[in-house]
Amino acid sequence: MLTADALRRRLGYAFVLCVFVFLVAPLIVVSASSFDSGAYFAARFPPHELGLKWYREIPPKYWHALGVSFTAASVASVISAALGVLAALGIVRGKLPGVEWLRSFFRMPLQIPLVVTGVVFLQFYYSLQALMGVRLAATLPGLIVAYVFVGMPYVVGTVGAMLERLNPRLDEAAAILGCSRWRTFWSVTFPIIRPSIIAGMLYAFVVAFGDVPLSIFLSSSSYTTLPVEIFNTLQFDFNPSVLAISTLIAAMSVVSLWVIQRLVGLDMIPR
Amino acid sequence: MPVTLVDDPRPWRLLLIIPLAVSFVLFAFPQAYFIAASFHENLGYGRIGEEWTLANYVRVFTDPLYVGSLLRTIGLSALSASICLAIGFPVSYVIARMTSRRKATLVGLLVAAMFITPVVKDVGLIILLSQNGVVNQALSVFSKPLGWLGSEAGVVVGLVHFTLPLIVLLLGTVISTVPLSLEEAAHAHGASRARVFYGVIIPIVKPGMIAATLMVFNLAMGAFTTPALLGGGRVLTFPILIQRSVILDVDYPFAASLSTILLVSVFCLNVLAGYLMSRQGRFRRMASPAPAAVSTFVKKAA
Repeated sequence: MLTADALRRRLGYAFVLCVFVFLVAPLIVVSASSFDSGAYFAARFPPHELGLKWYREIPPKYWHALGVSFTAASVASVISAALGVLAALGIVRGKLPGVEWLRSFFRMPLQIPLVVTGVVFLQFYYSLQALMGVRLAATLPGLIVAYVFVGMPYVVGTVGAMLERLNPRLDEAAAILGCSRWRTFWSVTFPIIRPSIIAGMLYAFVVAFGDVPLSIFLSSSSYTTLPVEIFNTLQFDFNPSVLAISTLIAAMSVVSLWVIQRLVGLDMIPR
Repeated sequence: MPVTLVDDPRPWRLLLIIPLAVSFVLFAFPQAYFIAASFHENLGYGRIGEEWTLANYVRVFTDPLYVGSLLRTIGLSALSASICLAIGFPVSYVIARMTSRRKATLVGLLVAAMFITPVVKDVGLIILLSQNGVVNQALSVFSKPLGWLGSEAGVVVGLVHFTLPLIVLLLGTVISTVPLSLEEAAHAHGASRARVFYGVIIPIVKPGMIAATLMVFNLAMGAFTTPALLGGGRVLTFPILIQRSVILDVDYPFAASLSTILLVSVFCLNVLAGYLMSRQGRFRRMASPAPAAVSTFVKKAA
C-alpha cells in the first residue's frame, strides 16, 4: 500500500516522463525512420526494413550545404568567441558605471526575432552594396557576419558568468608574486575561463548551424545552408534522405552540447 | 602597489572598444536604417522613395490579411505560452525538487531539446502528426484521423514543442528560489497542499513566472520555421508574412514596417520580462544561499 505522498511523487515522475517523451519523440522518430530502407515517398515509423540506404543516397546538394553551414558556423563561432571574450572582460573587470546597460546592449541580439534580424541584415547588405560596392548578400562572408551578430551574446554570457565566479584573489596573488598583468592573464585567468570560452563558442556554433529564419534571407542557390535546404525540401518535395541528413545534424548538436556539459555544466545558458 | 595595479579597472575598459564598435556597426546602424526605411514608399526593384510616409503602417492596420495575421499570431502564441506554463510548471517543480543525479540528465535533455534546430524537430513532428502517423493511429480509437498539419492545432503543438524546454528551464531556476524549508514550515503548521501552493509558492514565484511566460510568448511570436512547416502555408503568422513580403513581393519598406511592429512589441515585452526577473532575483537573495551558477542563470535569463 502506497502512502499518499509516495503516490503523489510517482504521479509527478510519470507526468515528467510523459513530457520528456513528447520532447524527444520527434528526434527518435526522425532517426529511427532514417534507417528504413523500404520507405520511398513517406517516412515510416516504426521502420520496417533496417538499412543505411538513405544515408548512401544523400544527394550532393546536401553535402555541399552541410559544408557551407559548417564553414560559416565555425568561422563565425571563432570570431564571436574572440569578440565575446573581450566584451566579457571589459564588462566584468572594467567595472564601468551603468554596466547593466552594457550587458543589455550585448544581449540585445537575443531579444530580436531572428526573422527580423534576417530582413535587417539583408537590407543592410543591399545598402552597403549600393553605397560602397561591397557584396555581402548571398555570400559566405555575409552569412558569417550575421552569425557573429547572433553568436556573440552566448560567449559574453558564458564567459561573463565564469569571470564573475572567479576569485579576484587569484589575480592579486599572481601580482604579488611578481607577475605582470599580461602574464597574470595568460597563466591565471585564461586557463580558468577557457572552458567557458569553448562552451560559448559551441553555443554560438549550434545556434548558427541550425538557423533557418536568418539564413533563408541571406543564402542563395549557390550558398544555401543545410537547415534552409531541409526546410525547402520539406516545403516542396519530400525525400527520405532528408531524414538521414537531419539525423546527422541532430547527432552533431547533441555531441556539441555534451561537450559543453562536460566543460562548464549546462546551468549557464545565456538567454 | 601590485594589488591596486590588479584592481585598476581602466585597462580592462579598453577591451570593450572593439566589440562595442562591431556591435554598433552590426546593430544600431542597420536597425536605424531599417526602421527608417519602413517610413518610405516602395518604388519597386528594391528602390525606396525619398519622402517620409506612414502609408506602410496604414496598410498593415487596414488590410484584414495583416490585422488578422497579427491577431492570429498573438492568439496562437498566447495559447502556446499558457499551455507551456500549465505543463511546464509541474515539470519544473518536480525537477527543481529532485536531488539525484537524474536531475542533471533531465536538464541536459532539456538543453538538447532547446538547441537542436527546429527544422529537425519539425521533421519528426510532421511524421508523427501526418494523416497515418503515430498520433492519429493512437487517437483512432476515439475519432477519425485529424488533419493536424496545415491547421492551427498543428502549429500550436509545434510551438509548444519549440518553447517548452525554455520555460521548464526558466521556471526551474525560479522555483528553486522557494526554499523547501518554507513549504515544510507551512505544512507543519497545518496548511493544506492547496494553501501552500497559493499562499506560499505562488506569491514568491509570481514575477519570475510571468517573466518566463512572457519570454516564451515572445519566442512563439517570432518563431518562423515551426509555423511555416507545420502550418503548411495555410496558417499565416506574422513572421511568415514578413518572409513572403521580402522573398515574393520584394517590398522592403513594407517588410520593414511589419518587422518593426513585431520588433517593438516583442522588445517591450522582453524589457518587462527582464524587469520582473530582476525582482525575482531579489527574492533569491533574500531566500537562499543559492549556488553562484544558478543565480547567474537567473540574471542571464533576465
